[in-house]
Amino acid sequence: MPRGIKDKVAIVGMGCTRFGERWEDDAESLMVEAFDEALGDAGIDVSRIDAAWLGVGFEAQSTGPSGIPLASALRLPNVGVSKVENYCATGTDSFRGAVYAVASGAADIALAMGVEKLKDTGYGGLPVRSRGLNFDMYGVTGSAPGNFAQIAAPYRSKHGVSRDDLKRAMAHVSVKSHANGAKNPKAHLRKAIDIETVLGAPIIAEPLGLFDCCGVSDGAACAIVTTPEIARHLGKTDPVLVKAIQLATSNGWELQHGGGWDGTYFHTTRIAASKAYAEAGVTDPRKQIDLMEVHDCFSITELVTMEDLFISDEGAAWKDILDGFYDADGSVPCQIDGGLKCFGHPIGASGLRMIYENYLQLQGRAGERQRMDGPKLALSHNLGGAPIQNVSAITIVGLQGA
Amino acid sequence: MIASHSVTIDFVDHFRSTGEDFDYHWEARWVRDEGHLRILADAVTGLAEKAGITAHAIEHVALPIASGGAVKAIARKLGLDDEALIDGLGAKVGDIGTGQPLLMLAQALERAKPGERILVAGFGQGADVLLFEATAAIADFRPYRRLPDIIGDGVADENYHRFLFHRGLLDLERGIRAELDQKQPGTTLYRKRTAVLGLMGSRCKKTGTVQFPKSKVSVDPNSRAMDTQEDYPLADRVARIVSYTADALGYSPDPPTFYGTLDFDGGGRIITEFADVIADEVEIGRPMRMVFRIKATDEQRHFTKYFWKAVPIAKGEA
Repeated sequence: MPRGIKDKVAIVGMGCTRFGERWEDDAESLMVEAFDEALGDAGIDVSRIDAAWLGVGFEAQSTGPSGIPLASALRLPNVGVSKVENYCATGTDSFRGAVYAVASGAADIALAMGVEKLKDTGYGGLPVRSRGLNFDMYGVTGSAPGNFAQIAAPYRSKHGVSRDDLKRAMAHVSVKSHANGAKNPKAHLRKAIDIETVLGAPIIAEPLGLFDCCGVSDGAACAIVTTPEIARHLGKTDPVLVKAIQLATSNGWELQHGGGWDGTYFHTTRIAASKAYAEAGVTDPRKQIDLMEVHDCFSITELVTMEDLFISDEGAAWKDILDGFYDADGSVPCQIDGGLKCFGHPIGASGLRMIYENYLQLQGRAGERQRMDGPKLALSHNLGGAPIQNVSAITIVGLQGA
Repeated sequence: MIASHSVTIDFVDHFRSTGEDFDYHWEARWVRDEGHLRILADAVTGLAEKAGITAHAIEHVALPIASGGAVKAIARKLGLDDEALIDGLGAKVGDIGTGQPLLMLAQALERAKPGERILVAGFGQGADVLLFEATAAIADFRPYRRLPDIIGDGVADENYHRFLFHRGLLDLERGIRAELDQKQPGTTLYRKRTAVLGLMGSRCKKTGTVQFPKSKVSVDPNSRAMDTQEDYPLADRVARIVSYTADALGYSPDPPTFYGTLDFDGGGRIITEFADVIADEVEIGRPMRMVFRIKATDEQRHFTKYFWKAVPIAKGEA
């Protein structure tokens, strides 16, 4: 087990645009908006940034290739900019690059940006794209809801959960996120909904209805990271520290090994969670994690993820959800900012948006939705790909001593 | 084959010019009297003479004529046994054209006994008539699937617009989601031809792990074996549903798209589309059979991409 990076890197500034249908904006203006907030928050000049990472999921629509779009938009002082893409886990991977640069000593101050301009495609949902010439000959180019919907039936079958119970628990996930999003001025969707609306909505991919699915948004989010020493020098007396970042990447086992993975959980999330808890020194996540932002691209994803993060017991997340355990006033609030479901999902920005909310909550700066019990340790979970083949990225941030 | 007979006559009963959607037919009475009862019947007689037998003695006769009345008239004229006539299946599969004689031959092979004779005719610009005799080996003939089962898989559909669309006779605006470029593969298809066209999987010689498609390093989590995989055909294996969905969002010419993960009996896993399914038939563990179907069409370059899809195995079958 490597030593890890716990407490070696501090976040000194973050920014996040309002997510939504930003018809007037493009990737450039969104990045500037997020960066402007982060720079003000950090209280530094742009000349102090030593290196930058740019996360974009759909470059063909958003920015085009390379790190140049970020360097140009922000007029960075000719520093190295790496562009990263790792499906919907892109934002966390961008953050990881910047954090590792600081942890290694290669940079004093680094920037992680994530951006996506999706509302220029002409239709809702993710752009349909090739996954390479080999895959296109024998793979299924299903929609995102279609790929994720497939967890539901095996989960019900394995854990003996009735169709109605699971639908109701999934619906609760979305009702809760809508209630939270309504309190967030930067959220894409700000309308509270009731459970009947969710249950009665048209089916997108069996058994996921309209309200079981998050939409896609335009938006950008970014983080400026540095060493705890420099952070204190910048006047951050109790900076938010990075406790752990772990990525786990599918190697084809779930996809190809007959009789192996049973389709009811995220293999990678369990691995990434175990490693992240070890890195952060978390031994009892259900008690120690104060709040979570997870990759709720679909209600069923959030439900199963509660188990894969070892917060709920296997097969029991649906009961915890219906008990309100993950509600804003529950034991471990999940998606207190509205989540992908309501804050929105500009792919490359989402991982950083999750960290942004945790960062605000830990500092008591989350406004109307602030958790009042003094949260000290927060987790974000950012997933790219499909249940059967994906990248799972987990970040734990916390205050000194947590 | 024990005899054959062919006649060539310019007899234009129907035609379709290049680029036309439909056939143009001449009067059916002339086609029957001059074509079926004269050209075709005479060709059968010619064959019988060559083989030194009477037409009445032939146990199985395949006359691929859409008109049932014409077939009966030929039988009367030649003294064919009613029992010998093979059903053209027009009421079930329609007039399939060039493939009709072979479809009827397949039926004859499923019912013929050793020593029995099978006559297969082809009609058009003259006639070709072939005479076969079943050998002792026919007693052991077990078709992979019997014709009645295959025909029984058909799903009736009364939506005429859907029929027109799938026949390419109705130009529909399919929306932006359908714009994914399905560019025809050249080098990649050649390299992966046995996997794509033959559903050839692989089995690790060291661990026995089966997978699709083949890879340099085995997918077995306990053995990082390299270059140990031998061909392992999956097309004829039963596969069972591990997970599935019915996707109403992604573009499909036949929405919703059913697809999911399947595990093959004997090892191996695949994600593929399902075909010929109705919602109630899909469930975890359901046995499915693999069929070779159209996967996508490259609309720009007019290339049809094929791959394997899963269809439900009828209850009681396999």
